[in-house]
Amino acid sequence: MLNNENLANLYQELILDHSRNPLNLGDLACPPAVQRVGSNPLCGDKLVVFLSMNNDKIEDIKFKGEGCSIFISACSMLSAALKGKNIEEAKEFITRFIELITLNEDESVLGQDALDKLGKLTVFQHVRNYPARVKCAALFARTVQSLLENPDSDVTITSE
Amino acid sequence: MCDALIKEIRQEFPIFEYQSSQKTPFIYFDHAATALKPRCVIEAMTDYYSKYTANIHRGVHQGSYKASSEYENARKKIAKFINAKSDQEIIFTSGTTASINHFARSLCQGILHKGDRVILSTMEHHSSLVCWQAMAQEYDLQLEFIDFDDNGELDLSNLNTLLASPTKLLSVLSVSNTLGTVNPIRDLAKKCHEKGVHIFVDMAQSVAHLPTDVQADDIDFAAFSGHKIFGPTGIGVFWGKEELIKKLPPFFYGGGMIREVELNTCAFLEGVHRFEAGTPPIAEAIGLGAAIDFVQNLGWDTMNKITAQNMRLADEIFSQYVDYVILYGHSKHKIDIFSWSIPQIHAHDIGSFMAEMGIAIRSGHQCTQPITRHFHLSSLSRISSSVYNLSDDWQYFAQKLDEMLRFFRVKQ
Repeated sequence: MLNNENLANLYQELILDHSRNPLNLGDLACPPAVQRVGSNPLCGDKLVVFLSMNNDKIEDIKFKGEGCSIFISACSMLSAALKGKNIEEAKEFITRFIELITLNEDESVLGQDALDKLGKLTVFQHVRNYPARVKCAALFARTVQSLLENPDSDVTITSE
Repeated sequence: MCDALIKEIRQEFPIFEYQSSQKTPFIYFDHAATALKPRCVIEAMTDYYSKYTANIHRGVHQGSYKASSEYENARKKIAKFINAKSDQEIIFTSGTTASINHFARSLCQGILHKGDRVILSTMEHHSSLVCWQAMAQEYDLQLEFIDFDDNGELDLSNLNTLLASPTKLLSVLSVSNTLGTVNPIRDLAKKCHEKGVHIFVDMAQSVAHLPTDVQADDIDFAAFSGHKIFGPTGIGVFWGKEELIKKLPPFFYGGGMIREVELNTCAFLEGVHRFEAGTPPIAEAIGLGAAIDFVQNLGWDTMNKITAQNMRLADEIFSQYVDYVILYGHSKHKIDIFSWSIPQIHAHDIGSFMAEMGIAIRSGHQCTQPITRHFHLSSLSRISSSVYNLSDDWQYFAQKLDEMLRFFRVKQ
């Protein structure tokens, strides 16, 4: 088997698993659900996120997407993690996740508390060493962030 | 094998010496994006900057004289290299994209009329496709397309209809940057002229792979970039038959292109300087001249021999992995440009894996979205090779391809 630490860090088993068998693939009827398009035109990642709320709580979340394994697995794992959270919890989670994948090593790393909250999603922490791939991991997060902040807009979100 | 020869050629490229001192291997398979630069090009540019920096066609001092003569000398070398009738047909631009844009607008302003039709192929680079879309909208032109088949060859069955009135121009690339197909330019030019249609050829990918003879092909206009033929970035060429470019309005306006200026009127220079307003990329033009010398010294026999080796080695690998890797572009006439996909691995994952292994390849839509769409893909991986690729490079790639298939669990 290939002995390359960088690749093994970037493409953790969990990431490869989710990219092959993503959770929450599909769509939701809109309305009552809301949807938002995400697109990274330079690399070709395409995404539609569907969000169904029950009062303050994310009742269901689905996505349709086309892109690399980092992108698909981020969609899969984040959608699973966000389901059941209320808006404030979800926003907070997404902010921490974006920090995880964008903070440089010389910047202050996330506290243990934040890492604990992110749980399995910390497998994405090595993405920050691959500047060209950060956008792949970030597109789903940015798109959901936009939906939570402004459910009625029809903007297209990009993370490039 | 021509590896001994290739090793000698690699000595001319300083990048290999530098890269050999680095931790990661350096396998350059992205020639079609930009060629590596030989020492003679770098030195020609450094000489201009360190020994005789001056503007051209302006001062009477020594530096300006030398700079002007080197700049014009580059024009002469290019004219000879593509067998233009005269160096007064060679116009310097900043690259193929700039050439296409300047030419298209100039043609629309001076020659084309509302309702005229322009024919493109569906394998054009975005530089041509997007430009002509904009021109069609702005100048009320019709656009029609020559499609290609699954082998990546142009479907010319409908050509006579497409070239009939009101068609005025066919704009086509000589070699597809994605499929590697060599298009039948000479035949197309003949057909165009039978119908009184002009032909523009985007030679960006053919110029460093195949001998160019604009007179034998009897084309009307053409363009290429310096950086794809071992020259610097920021310089390119627009070529046109002298009697035709005389009819084109200038691309833009400024110093260096005028004979006489009054407050409200001016008279332009004759010839190519009419198209080169402002201070041109002098060092880059001189560098391109040196790149042309480099190719001439190497000779087409050597270049063709190495291309044949690259074609054969690539073919062996892709045949061996035919169960995993899908190759696009199977024309009988093609060069060593290979676009491929692996259904279970996204092109960007392939790109990252290969980059980690020290192999530079291209990932994405290759600036030809109609092609990726034809094959129902959003992105491709592309390998493109040149005179500096050893057979070891191909073996290393094959080994890493195999490791990648296992890493992403496509192969047991």
